[in-house]
Amino acid sequence: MAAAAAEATIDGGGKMIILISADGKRFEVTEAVASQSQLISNMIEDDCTENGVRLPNVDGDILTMVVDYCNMHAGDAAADGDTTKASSTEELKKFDAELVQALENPVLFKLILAANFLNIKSLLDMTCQRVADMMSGKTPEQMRETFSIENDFTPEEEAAIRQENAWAFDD
Amino acid sequence: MEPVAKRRRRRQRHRSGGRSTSTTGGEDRLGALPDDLLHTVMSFMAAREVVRTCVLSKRWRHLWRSAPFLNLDGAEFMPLLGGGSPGEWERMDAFVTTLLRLRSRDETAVDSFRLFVDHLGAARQMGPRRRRAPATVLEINVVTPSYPPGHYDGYTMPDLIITSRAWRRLTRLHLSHAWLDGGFGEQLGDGCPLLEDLALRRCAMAPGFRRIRCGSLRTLVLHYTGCGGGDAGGGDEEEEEETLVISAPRLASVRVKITSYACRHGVSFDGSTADSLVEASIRVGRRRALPTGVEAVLLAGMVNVTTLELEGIQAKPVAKRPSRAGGGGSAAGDRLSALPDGLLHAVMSFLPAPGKPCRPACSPRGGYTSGAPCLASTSKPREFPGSIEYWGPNEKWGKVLDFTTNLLMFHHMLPL
Repeated sequence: MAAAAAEATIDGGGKMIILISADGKRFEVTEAVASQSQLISNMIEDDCTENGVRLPNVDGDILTMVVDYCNMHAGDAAADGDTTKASSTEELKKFDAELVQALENPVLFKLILAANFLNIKSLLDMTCQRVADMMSGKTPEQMRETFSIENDFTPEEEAAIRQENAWAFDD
Repeated sequence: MEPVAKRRRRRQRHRSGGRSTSTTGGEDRLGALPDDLLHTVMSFMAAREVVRTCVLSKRWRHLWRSAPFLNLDGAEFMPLLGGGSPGEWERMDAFVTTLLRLRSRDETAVDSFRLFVDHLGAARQMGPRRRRAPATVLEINVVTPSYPPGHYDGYTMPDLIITSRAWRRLTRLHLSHAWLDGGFGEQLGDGCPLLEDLALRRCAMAPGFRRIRCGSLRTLVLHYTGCGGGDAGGGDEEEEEETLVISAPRLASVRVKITSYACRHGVSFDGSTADSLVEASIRVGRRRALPTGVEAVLLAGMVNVTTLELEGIQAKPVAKRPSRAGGGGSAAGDRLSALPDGLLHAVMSFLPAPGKPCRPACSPRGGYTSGAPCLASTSKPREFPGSIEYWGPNEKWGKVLDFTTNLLMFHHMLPL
């Protein structure tokens, strides 16, 4: 947390904003970093970030990931045309890939909900894509297992549904 | 003792249902997501897989029916390389037809669903800003690997998209390798009055395909490679030599790429695009593939000209409007240099690629100072959009100037 805040100050550029997670952790980020969240961007426009932005739906550990993500992608959004741009896009890709690969079941969904709540489209797309990738190529049984989906159909009901949608199940 | 306790615990958990607050790994967190997020997840999946989620649980039973995105991906049915067997194509066709038919029919069901999402889902999960009516289908993306065996025209989409009311909320339509019948473009605006983003890549158009008309269209990608009706029968339609006219008063960005004589009579924009169009890229591929003198690409819509035809290098505005303007010729030089770079680039992009490159197109205004002195005064260094690779030979510059003069006359005389 402290590291994230320090990084943000080094980044510099513009006012600092304090984000407060559900469990009271505080994150100091630049406006540029924070405004990748459409929600916060709107709040900045409306001038209501003075006393910090409370995010009652987002836990501290999830917010840490979100802030890390936004710090990494801040330059990306600003499109400064840096000379280091080429290498940094490589880095970004690597960072994103590592982040997304590391995500496991509960954290992944918390992050999706956070990205949705904060309205960070790129993060939302990335995490939803991850879920889609985890579903792709799996049989329904495997999908249920992966995501702990309880099959609440009776065998007869399931058979009937398969029959009804046989056009999508023939291989 | 122990088993009883265990049983009781299990019963308790069962009673509290899916809403248990325990954070064990056994919780169905995916199913707990609101519908619109599950739809976002589905948007990254291919259509058949999306449909197959219906057997997962009751939560998933009908979700696919309201997914706002459809990715009809041929790769689900056949290998991408080398195309598929007739059987595979048939299976894909059957699937697509059924899916589109069902989604077309489901309109009422989806509408009632919309209420649910608006009042519960959206309000609870997303805050007010993202509350917008979910549509039946917002996006259709069809990718087929190549042409089906025996059908050089491409994959024929079931004729449901335009005719059914269910697609009236479509905002994005991307098709590749599809066969489009003559009425497709004409009916687009009526069938999909909200369509903003249209991409037709490597689609074959039937001979009657003369117009793309869509009042809501913002971006258009048009990539011609095949000739409608097959190349053997191509001669038959020669008597009807018409351009493909794009009529889209809100069009802001267009990319046209022509790589054969599929579009042998050019593409034109009617005057309706004049105010909105800000970005255009027109690429004509190998000249060799075009019959002599028919690389007409018309871009009149950019400057308020109703129809402007340019064949080869010959500037030839079709005089749909008699030249009743006074202030033409002499003023044209000044007006030309006053044009924005984008428009000049568009003008230059009509230069044919006659055999060999004469001059590299890296610095447009500086580059043609010798041929067109009137341009020198405003030369601004600006990167070239890169829509053409070659310059025409010097002697053609006169014709270019002719063309631009004509163009400007039209521009001048039409009220903005």
